Amino acid sequence: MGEYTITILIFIAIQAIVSCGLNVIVGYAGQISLGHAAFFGIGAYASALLTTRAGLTFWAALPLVVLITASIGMVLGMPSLRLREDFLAVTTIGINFIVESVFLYVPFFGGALGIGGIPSVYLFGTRLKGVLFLYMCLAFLAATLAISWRFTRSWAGLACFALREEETAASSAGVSPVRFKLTAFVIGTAMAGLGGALYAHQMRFISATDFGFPLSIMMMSMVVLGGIGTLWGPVLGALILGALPEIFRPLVDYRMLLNAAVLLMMIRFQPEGLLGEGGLLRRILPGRGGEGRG
Amino acid sequence: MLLEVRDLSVCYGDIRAVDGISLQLDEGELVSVIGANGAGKSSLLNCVMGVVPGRGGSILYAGADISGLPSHRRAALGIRFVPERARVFPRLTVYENILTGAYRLKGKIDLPGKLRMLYELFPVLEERRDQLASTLSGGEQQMLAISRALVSDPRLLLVDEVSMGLMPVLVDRVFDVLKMLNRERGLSILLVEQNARASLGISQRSYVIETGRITLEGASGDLMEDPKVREAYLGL
Repeated sequence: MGEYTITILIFIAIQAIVSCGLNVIVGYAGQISLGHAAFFGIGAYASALLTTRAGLTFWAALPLVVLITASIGMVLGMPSLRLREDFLAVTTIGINFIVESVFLYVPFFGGALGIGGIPSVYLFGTRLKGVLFLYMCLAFLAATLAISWRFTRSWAGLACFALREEETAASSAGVSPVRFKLTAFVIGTAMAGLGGALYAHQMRFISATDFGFPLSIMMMSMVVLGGIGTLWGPVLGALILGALPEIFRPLVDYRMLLNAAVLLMMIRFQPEGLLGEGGLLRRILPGRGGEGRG
Repeated sequence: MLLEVRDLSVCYGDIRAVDGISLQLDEGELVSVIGANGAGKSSLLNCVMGVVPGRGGSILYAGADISGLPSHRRAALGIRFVPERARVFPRLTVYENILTGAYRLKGKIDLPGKLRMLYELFPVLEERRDQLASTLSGGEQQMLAISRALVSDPRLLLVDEVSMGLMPVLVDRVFDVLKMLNRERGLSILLVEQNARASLGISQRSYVIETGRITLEGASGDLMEDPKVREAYLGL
């Protein structure tokens, strides 16, 4: 594998982790979020600051990064307790813009210059770069998938599915909407925080514009393309949308056009996603992807 | 007194759907509330469950005022709800639908025993155990909604328009089950129905509501003989 290919695969793995987090919120708990890049950014900035200014290693910072992102995720998830569907979508877009502006305009976060000099990741004295960094990302992706799978099999998962399907019926069956919507936001944003930390240490330089609204749309596209609410959907979506621009490199000027065309075709012909109910790949791969009960 | 509703109102904007209703239900009683479409029956029941907020008045359950509690807290106290049009979780399996009713009760109830009891009551649910609830017929969805409520071993069951859209033979079946649960298992049930004949037939006492107010109340047998009820609700 060339270095270039490895770099592409690292980004795909990171986006798959973050999309899995979005899938917990949108797919499992049914809460529309169009601001997921904000939490990806919070994870990246938290890790960057803790490693550059507080002098922690990547590994020492990581638990804090996940904790910080998930705590902010819980607070910013609160609008979902009052707002439904399109109102929630607009609010989460707003959250994305606010978080991006804070990174951009508050000097503590480096302003427009962003944060540079983010240290590499070392494990047992070995510097993880190139293919080693890729392996680490894949290990984290595997852990993320394991947690997602475990979640779908838990009571909390069942409670989230019930809320997604029929909120009033779920609450009259004893399921607390507050507790489980926030649980989904905590788990989903924790995954985004993990992805953000990996991103920061791969790039070694980050700035606010890396975490804007278009990235949130891209993440949502990955989840929708792969199959919303399925286990493997976000991974498939990240793989396709991450690889397409490389495959169609000669058509680089038309990249956004192609992305839009793919999404429109999906909405028209595969609304549940490739791995979702009645999806193209679901039919080819019997038994696959059904774990998530899309 | 298991449930006592005092002077309760429910408003949607300027519209007063329930206008100062008071009613009681004793432990072990099956009480029905009948009335025409739009009379405020469902609003009343939704308010008792905590799905819509009440305005003024109070709801006492087992002696305590529950009107400030969210619905999941009321559910935790033993009140369960069979909502209008069943409201099953369409993309969950039949089994998972029932399981949501037992949320946080693991260890407190005999789940396998409860499931056996429910499957005995509604054998079709056992046959369709692993099917998505969206593939069930309207009647089967009602049975599933009842099972989801019963699995928790509730103390008070609220049933909203269970006969709506069901074919007559199924209406009889569902009402037989409700009657059996009340008579043999001592389950307290508050039933809200447009189908006056069937609900007067199984309940001990009934209330008639019109445009948000109670206009008549009494033993169901007496109401069945009441000329106004006969004309307006039984079509006799």
